[in-house]
Amino acid sequence: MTPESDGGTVVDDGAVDERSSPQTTVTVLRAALTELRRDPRLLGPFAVAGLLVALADWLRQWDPIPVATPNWMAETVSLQYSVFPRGTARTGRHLGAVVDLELPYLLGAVALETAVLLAIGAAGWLTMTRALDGQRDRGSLARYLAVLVTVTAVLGVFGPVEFSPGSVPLGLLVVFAISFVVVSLFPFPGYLAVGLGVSAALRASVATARGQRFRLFGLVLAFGLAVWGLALVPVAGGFLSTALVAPVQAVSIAVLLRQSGPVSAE
Amino acid sequence: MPSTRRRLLASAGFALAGAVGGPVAGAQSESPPEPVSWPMARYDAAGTAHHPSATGPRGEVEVAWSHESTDWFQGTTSPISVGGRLYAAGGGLLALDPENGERAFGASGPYQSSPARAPAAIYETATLAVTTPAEVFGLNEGGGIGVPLTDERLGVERWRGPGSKPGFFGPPEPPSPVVADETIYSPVPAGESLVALDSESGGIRWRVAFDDEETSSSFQRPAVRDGLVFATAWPGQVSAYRAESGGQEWHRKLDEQMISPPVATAEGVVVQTREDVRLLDPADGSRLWDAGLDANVTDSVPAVADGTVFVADELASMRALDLASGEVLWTTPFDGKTAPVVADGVVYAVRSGFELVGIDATSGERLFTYRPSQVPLSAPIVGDGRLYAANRKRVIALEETA
Repeated sequence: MTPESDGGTVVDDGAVDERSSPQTTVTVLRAALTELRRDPRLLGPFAVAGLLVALADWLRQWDPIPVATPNWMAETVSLQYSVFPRGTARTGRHLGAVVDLELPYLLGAVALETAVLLAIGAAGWLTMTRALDGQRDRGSLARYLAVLVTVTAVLGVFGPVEFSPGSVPLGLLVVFAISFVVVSLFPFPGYLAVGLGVSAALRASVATARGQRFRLFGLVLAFGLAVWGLALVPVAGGFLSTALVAPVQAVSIAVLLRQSGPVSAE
Repeated sequence: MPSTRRRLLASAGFALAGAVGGPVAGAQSESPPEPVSWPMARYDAAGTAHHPSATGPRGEVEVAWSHESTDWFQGTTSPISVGGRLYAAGGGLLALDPENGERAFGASGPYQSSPARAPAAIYETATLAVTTPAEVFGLNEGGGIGVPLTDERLGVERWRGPGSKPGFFGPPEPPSPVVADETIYSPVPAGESLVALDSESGGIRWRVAFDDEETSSSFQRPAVRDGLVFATAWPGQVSAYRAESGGQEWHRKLDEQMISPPVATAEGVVVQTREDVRLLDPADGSRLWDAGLDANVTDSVPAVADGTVFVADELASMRALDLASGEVLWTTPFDGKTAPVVADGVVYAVRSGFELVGIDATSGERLFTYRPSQVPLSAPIVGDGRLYAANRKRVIALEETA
């Protein structure tokens, strides 16, 4: 074994002994990457989902329904982090673009968005359950997809939160509050994937995040910036951010869950 | 091409509809005849401001109703009337019942210009194109979805079109879009280009700018007729573009810098400069006639009805000119800037935003005046015996005093 200066421990084959706390953001990422190298099939689901994201980007620009360019594409820097492992598309659809569509177009548009979302959800569930060597049951997949679809639909209907703080202290307070929530929810998709109910997964997620929020905040920053940077790549941005970042996030969640103790729905 | 896309997407949708066993809507159903409509600022794509079948008051007027209960509304531009609804923009989009002024829906937003109604084949409702000082928007004519127990609406905004950042001197007056053949033609707010937009997606079909972009200002409201888009901008720029492709048909730089938005007619293109009115040949932009006026026009817009051009000189009078010759038919006292509208033989002109004047289109005789309690008063639209206008914090309907 080789002692690491950042607190984690790397075994001879490159794998990280996850229970040798404390770990840092870097060691979690290194462990996730090592696991992906050891089992490249973990990359498969999000590679397929990424292709679908890229195809959807192309279709949205091709069809006659209004397409929206996300605001983050024009920003100097942006954090495109999602609690559920996923990349980000370069195009989108606002609710207003589908309201009052003639039925065939409405069905086409909803089918496209649903297919992409289900592919991303299935990819996350497959990747995390494989990384955790967990049982794959339809119930946990259905629950995982239901929560993902619900959260996405609510955010889609009510739009992204836009906040312009009137003062620096207030702005910092809001950033702190949002960061606290996001960090506490970091492991949440993993617990859903292994079969916990929504409330149990939330409780477990908060408990797992306790005591390691700085490390998780580092992961949120890393994934958010990586998704944003890759998504900026013309044409292939949707694929790259999904195929390259989302599996690392999914496996990182698995690493954290393993580190926190035995993982199962029972 | 959009039509191919539509066919393919619709086919996919139909297939899906069949697969899930749901009902499938066919082509847009026949709708009952609509009441008198005024679908965009200046009534038509040509910018004539003349409604051939509407009737308005011919004598003293009184307020038929006043909608004042929408607190965010602040309107300075003409409403439009389509499908039995009155739409007014100003701090949002307001849809009212023209009969009694009751609100059908309202959605706050940055929208300021007069809306222009554009049919959108893939939607059950048309698109209302509207501009802000910075952007063009496509709104849902139906108002989207109301959120129960609140005053909020979701999905009002269908698309967001091209825009620019307002310049150093602040946001300019937002230009009004024009609709012809399901295509929206609009100056890019605060920009130096004119765009043709798809009414369904807001996608840019073409974009043009004057060659002299360095010295030109924003385009004014264009006029569309017989497959040509006529556009003007300071200083003295006039162009004609093919509506289908945006290809330039001709370009002229007038010897006068101030120039009004154009009005396209069968005889030619009417433009007003600071000191004269001109009729340009739509084929090449050459001057067919010009009528010198003792004038200082900076903001007024001509109207054309039944072979007569109605223009204000912004000094002391309004004139009627023969469209064929430019000969002055009558002159009547009228000061201030205005954008007159004409219906049923009456010219309705708001004087510098504070007084509405009714003038007999044949004789120039003043029929009535009306001063609202608030200013500014927008140019009115005419329909079913009434006038409708935005009046700062309210929308009003005026009818002839009984």
